[in-house]
Amino acid sequence: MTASTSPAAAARARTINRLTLLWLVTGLALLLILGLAGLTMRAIQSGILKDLAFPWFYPILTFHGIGMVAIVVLTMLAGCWYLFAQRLPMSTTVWAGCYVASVVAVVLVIVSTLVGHFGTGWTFLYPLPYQSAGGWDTWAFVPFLLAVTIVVVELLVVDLEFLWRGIRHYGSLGRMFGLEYLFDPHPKDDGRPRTDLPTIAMTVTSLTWIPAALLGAILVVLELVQVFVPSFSFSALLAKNLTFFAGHMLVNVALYMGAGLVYAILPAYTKRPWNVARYAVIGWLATTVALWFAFYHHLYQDFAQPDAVQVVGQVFSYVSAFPALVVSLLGAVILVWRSGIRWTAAPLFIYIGLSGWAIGGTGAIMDSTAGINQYMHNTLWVAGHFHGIMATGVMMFFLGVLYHAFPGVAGGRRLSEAVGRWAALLIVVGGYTVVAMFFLSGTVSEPRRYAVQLPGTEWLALVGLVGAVLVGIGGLLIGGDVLRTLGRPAPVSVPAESPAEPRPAAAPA
Amino acid sequence: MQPAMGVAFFVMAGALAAVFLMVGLDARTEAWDTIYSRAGQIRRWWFRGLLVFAVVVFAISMTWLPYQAVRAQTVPGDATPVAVTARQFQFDLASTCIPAGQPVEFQVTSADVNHGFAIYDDSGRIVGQTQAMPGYTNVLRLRFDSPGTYTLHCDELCGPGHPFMSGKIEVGSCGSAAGSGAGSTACGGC
Repeated sequence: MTASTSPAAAARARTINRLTLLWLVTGLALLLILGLAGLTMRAIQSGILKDLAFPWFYPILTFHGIGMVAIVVLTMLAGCWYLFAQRLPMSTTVWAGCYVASVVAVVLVIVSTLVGHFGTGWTFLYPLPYQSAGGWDTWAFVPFLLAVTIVVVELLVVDLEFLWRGIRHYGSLGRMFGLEYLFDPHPKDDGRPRTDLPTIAMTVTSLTWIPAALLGAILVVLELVQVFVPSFSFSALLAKNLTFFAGHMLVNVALYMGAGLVYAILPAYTKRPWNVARYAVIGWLATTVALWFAFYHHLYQDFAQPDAVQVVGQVFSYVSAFPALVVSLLGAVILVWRSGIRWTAAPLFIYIGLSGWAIGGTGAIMDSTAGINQYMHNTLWVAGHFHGIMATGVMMFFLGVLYHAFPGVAGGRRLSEAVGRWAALLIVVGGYTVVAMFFLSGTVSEPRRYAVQLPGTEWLALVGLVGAVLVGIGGLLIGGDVLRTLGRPAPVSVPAESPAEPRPAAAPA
Repeated sequence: MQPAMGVAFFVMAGALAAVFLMVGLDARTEAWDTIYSRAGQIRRWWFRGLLVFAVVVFAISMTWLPYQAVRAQTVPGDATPVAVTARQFQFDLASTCIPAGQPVEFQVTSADVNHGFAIYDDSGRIVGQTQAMPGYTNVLRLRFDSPGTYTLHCDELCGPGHPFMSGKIEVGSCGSAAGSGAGSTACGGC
């Protein structure tokens, strides 16, 4: 927080810091619990815990899946909220309400999956929730749907508040997007604040999430009607389109909020500016459009979809990869290149996350080719690419944010750099082992979501399990260090300024 | 396809990891102005290279599409229809005997929830797949050049029995047995 001059501002700064610390600690705790669920699944698949397969594998799968999706979204949202609350008058009351709602959502998911044995996977593909073949009772779907609704609405509320306050701050939606850079690479100072890359990323997130939330709400309403009126039914193909329009958007906006945080944090360590440029604005505009159509790649194997739609899905899947590769990933690598960066834990985790995004994204782009998807669809290749992007990507951004923001929100206490670096090593080795085993399993056509692996492939799950254990040890090291550090008294002098807002630097001519 | 894709992925992933590692470990420092001016050139060539690569791959990949319009060209000839109904947790096929070397069209639907209909060869790799969706029929057109036993697996989560939902088809010289519509038909001379 910027050094405050009034008691009200100081009180607001304290509230922001406390809320952010709460989100960071809760996010880390949930990440460890959900990671344990993932590790348990690999242990079941490897045969070590095969007796747990029934009835536990599918409830755990659903708990892990929906929990991790919610965690990547909410932790990235928390990071962005912390960032933007320092420049916009974001409501702390709304954000505290979101925290309480999130806790309720966690309880609902636990009730649904671990008590009610709800086991459809996080995509709850219609009409499976109502035809469980004895796996669960339909009531267990209701708390699950409510939990999903809470996350969807939380993101929508914060996005709408961000857009409203952003328009008042920057002057217009176009200025938040940086559209003036399309016509003039160096717009003249007109006395109003100029946008920056984190703002553009959050604007894209907000604009793309609004339609996704609305279409997702239609699906939730249709599902709820069928819960209470069992004779009601609707098209499975419509349901699948709605599911993946909203679901694909949800995980992508988490990634784009993560990109916004990378834009904000990495320059503080490379001591180089990451300014708005025309190509970046074009890239984010392309992303905004592409996100509307790329989700069709989830339905490539539904041949009832029109062929033209499938081709459109492939075109926009490719288009959506360009901004990531040309703007964010290349931009980050160039920012680091020969910068003399000191690899403390914060930039280290951010950088690891970028590599995970690039490598996982490569597998994703390949699978978004319909002709390749014919052979890889619903194999563990899919798990490989999304664990690459999310586990070794976005979750590393979260750990980077944790190390970066911690001193500012925890009264000047600092996490151990040595612990952070050891944890990073364990997580990289373990994480990439997990991801590589998923990709290898995909190349031998191992179906995803199999409680019992096909004969002869259990060893891949076993090696993946070893990787997951290493990740778990790394996570526990960080968790232990957070608890130990919070248990210590805060240093007397608190940093007046958080590095969350890197000082602006002039762009080279 | 799968081994080639696996090799392609691990080569590209390895190259990316190498770039990240080399840049991250490069301890030299250089002025930002110098780097920035080079970055523009790098970005332009990176963008052009990616664009050419994407266009070429896209054009080639259109011949790999698994849909009827393309498969009618890549798997020409009159096809033997085989009706497939998936249900928790089994596949009901009008015939399990498939003629070798001739086009066959699996007309796949579901009687309950979404399923996957994935066909595995004897090396354990998928040779083709489509989804089985209630209320819709997906037509998967294939030609099996190698006789033998192929395994069916469901690859869309369909309930607690999902990993056990499988079946077999026999590919060989079946005469007119295929597509008779009278339940599962034993394959003669496979």
